[in-house]
Amino acid sequence: MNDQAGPEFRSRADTPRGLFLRRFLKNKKTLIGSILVMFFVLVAIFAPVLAPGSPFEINALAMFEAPSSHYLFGTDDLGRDVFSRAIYGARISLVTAFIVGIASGVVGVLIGLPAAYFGGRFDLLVMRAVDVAVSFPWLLLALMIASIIGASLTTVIVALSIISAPGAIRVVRGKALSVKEETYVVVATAIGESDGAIMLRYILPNCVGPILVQTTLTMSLSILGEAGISYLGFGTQPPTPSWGLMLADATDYLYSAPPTLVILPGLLLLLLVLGLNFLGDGLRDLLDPKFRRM
Amino acid sequence: MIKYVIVRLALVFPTVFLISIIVFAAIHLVPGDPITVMFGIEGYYPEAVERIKKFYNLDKPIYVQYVLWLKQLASLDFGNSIVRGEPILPLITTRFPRTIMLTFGSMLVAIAFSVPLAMMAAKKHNTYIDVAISGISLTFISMPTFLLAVLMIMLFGVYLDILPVTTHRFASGTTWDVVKGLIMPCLSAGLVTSAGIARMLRTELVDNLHKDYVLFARAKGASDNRALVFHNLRNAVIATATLVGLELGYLMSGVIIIEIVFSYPGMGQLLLDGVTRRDYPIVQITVLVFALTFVVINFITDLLYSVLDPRIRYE
Repeated sequence: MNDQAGPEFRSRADTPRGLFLRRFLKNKKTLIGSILVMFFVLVAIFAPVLAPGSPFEINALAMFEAPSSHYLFGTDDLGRDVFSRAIYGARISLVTAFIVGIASGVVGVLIGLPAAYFGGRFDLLVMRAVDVAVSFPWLLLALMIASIIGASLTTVIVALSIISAPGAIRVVRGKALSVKEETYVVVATAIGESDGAIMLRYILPNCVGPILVQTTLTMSLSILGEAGISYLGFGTQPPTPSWGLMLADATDYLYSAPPTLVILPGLLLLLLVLGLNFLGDGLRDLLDPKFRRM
Repeated sequence: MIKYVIVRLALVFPTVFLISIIVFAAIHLVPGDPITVMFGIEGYYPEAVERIKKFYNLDKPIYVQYVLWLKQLASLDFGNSIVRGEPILPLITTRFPRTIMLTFGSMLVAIAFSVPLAMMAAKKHNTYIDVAISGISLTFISMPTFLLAVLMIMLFGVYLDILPVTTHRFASGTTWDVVKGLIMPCLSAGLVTSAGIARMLRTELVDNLHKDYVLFARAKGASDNRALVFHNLRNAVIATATLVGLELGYLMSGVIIIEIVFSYPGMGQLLLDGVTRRDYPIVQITVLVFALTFVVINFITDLLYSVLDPRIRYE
């Protein structure tokens, strides 16, 4: 990336990485985004410590209780603690997001990089397939996959990885195509480096920025996807606490459930996705000079 | 123009062909077979099972089944639902218009909200109004459609009790009932979509503010508003149109979920019911209808795009 464009003061101690970190912390979007995401990562890791009770414990005498000192955010249709379930729900969302993000990134590199580098018929075939896949309504694909391998969290993760791979392939290919023309790649070819080495050592490192942005946005979309598919009953299965499932419970018992059964999982879902979107937007501003002025 | 239409049409066919293969193949990868699902225990009545298999062509090789299936579809014979035992065509013809109504209603809401908001944000760009509009859009982009729907149901349906929480009495209600039933579904799907469009449109409008043709319009005496609407917006809409195609894919997915939230008797409900009960023909036809609708709408968008921007045709 073109670092000279910034008006910042640069001391001699500035390494490119230090400069990036400073920009990262100075940018409001990346700062807010990373704080929100870090918050949820911590919540997910320390869920057993933070949750006041068990997310699974059923209490037939305390169904649909309003918030109280014992049940901070009330109870659901089985008398389970909404607060504890919401805290554990962060785990499902984050695990989905990370696996889908990494899987689609890896597939994007494995297919997009050779497609851009070798070009020709392979590239044409890949791009035609990507064009079809990108425009296809994602839920239709997810539902078809769910009907084939059955409804489970694994299904959701597989489905969302397949759905988000085409986008990643397109991004990697696009960036690799432009990097391929750079002088250092031409020089590497001239001194006889192998195709694999050129792709891995010269092209891939220069594609990291767009991949990072794409992965962050993929993660936010896959959290929305998991919640949506689970809401419909084809994703995470009860009694596992998932925000989408909790919202489905609330819809089933609209007139008896405490409003917190909607508000808490909904708010957490919103904040996590918002955090990832802020992070992705901010990273794009930082890494892509085309967007920097915005 | 005619040449462009033909070229675009030639690109539609491989897509449709690919979709039909995916839809057909996917359902045949399912582990449970429909006969077992129907009878519960495999081979309960062996002769009956054989006869039913023969009736639905399930005993033939898979590629023969595919060709037979295509032939059937071509003659508009969509076959019978395995679980319901009734023909599929009437199910589709009653439900498809409802889903289309919901989709277009949502798109209308999306455009009605996004265009004025984007114009306001662009006009006051880099002020607090702009930041507020950006913040609201990002919040709506981060919100799953069904969450907004459930929140609205709680507010307008349960607490205020001014709008119906379900639309299952759709067929028997009066026009006013139908309109009232559509308000919340269209708003929830439309608002989420509008956020994406507004963001893109605002970026385009702000980018264009310093383009020559906008400056020229200002220089020859057009007011700020006139330059914004007649010179800037017209060009920004063209760039945004590409996004609308993508948004439509999301909107359709959103509409399927919305139908479930509001028990809306449309195609989405039919599809989910088919998936749950392993009703292969229903799933195949509904997915196919959804996919084809999507392809057709995208095709029309492309044509409109080329009418708006003649440069596209010569590329």
